[in-house]
Amino acid sequence: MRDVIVLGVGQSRFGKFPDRSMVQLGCEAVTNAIRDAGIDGRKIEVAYTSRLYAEMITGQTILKEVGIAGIEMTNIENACAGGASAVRALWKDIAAGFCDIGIAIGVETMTTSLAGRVITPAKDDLEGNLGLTMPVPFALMARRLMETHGATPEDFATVSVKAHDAGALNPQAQYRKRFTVEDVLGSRMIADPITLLECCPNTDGAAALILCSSQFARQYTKRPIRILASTLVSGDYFFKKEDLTSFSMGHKAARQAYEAAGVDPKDLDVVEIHDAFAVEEIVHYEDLELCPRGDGIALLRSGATSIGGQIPVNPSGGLLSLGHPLSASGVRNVCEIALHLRGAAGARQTPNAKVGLAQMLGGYATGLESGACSIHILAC
Amino acid sequence: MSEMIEMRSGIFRRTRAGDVLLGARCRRCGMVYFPSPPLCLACSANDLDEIELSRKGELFSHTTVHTRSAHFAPPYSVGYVRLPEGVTVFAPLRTTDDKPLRVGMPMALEIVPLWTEDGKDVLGYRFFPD
Repeated sequence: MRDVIVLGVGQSRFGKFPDRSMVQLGCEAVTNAIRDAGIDGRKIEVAYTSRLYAEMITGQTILKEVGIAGIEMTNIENACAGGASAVRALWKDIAAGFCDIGIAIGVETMTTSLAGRVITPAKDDLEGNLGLTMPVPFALMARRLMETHGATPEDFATVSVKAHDAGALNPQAQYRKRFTVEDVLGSRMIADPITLLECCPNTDGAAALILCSSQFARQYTKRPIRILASTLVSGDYFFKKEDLTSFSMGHKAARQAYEAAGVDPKDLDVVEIHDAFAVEEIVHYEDLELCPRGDGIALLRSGATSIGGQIPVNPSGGLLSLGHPLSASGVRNVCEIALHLRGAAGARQTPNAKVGLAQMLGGYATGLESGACSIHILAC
Repeated sequence: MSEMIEMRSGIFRRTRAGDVLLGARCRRCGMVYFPSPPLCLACSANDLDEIELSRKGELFSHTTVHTRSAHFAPPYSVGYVRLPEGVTVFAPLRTTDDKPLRVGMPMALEIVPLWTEDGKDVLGYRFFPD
């Protein structure tokens, strides 16, 4: 397999933009990534575009606006892991030698795609019909963490406070407002113990990532950032779960990534994860082996995962504060890790970051623990 | 009294001894499922027996939801109940004033109309503090 290099990163503004189309948001991210890479966009050989709520051939409709057509293009859906799945598909193509340079795009217009739509479960979706709406699995996870880990509602609120402290430093974030633990606990109850400020917002936005072979990269950068590992694992059967306090697919994807990269979790300098709901961050600490099983709450309370801590998690602000345009998030958080490794993350920069990990997961169906988890490990 | 339909046929039964969920047990490896899969998901054997699951179990986790779902107006409670056969079932929970929900409490099953569809009562299952 060949080395794969991150050559360009780009993001649109994240926020509520009901007047902006997927094409407009996608073009903003793609243009930024092409400018960042310093290439002529017509050099791009392959494009993977991820989106969940959209019409057909989203990638083609975005890229035709910036002079890119007539190349290999594929559109992907994998719930919240869709963007990361697009990155992985491109990584495989370059690693295997099918192409030398390509682009992965994630885009979502949550405010218009979901506006006014009553989310009705399919007739055969047993649990959906019985009241399993999106925050529910995470509320049930939170209750188990309170039983097994001694977690408190204040702990879950602390994750949100931490995310918003980071988001306040990120000019790209949807919300740049700080909150106290009391603010978070005092916000509207959604599914107890989860409150409104412990849920990610609906977000419109796009992200784009340009990857290339190391030979191609030589003409454009002297400090290449390599992708050491790319993994993707689908959710296992729910009946195999002993408890709700781990995603087996999350741990498996992490293990595979550490082994492929030759990296120990202790080597990581910065981490970006799926935090659509604050509570899940605790579970991801343990699944990613940032701490021993059972110590997730202690890790949070120690402050190690805050900006300035030993292993900052979601210095971007995460989905809670930066925003969560579903399919864009898995592209966007690989971009974030690349920025830290370049030393270009501004006020939220992790000092001397050499190795970073980006994780994204999601999807739900009766009988499965979740849909998919994808992990990328980057190093400079 | 309006006409009643089952939310899905073949997943529960009202017996003289009480309401039960219908699961499946693999004749080869013994794994128990609810609802019944087309084949054993653990060992792939195409040899499953229908079984009546225990009517009583233990509350494993619960939440009270304050947003609308497809069929329930807020607030409504849902959770997981673990049955002695080792199956964890997601279900709506009927709450009672004298027995607030807590993890580990004994729960019992009931088959009742949960919502209406085209003027018909839709029968489903839920648990309540025993």
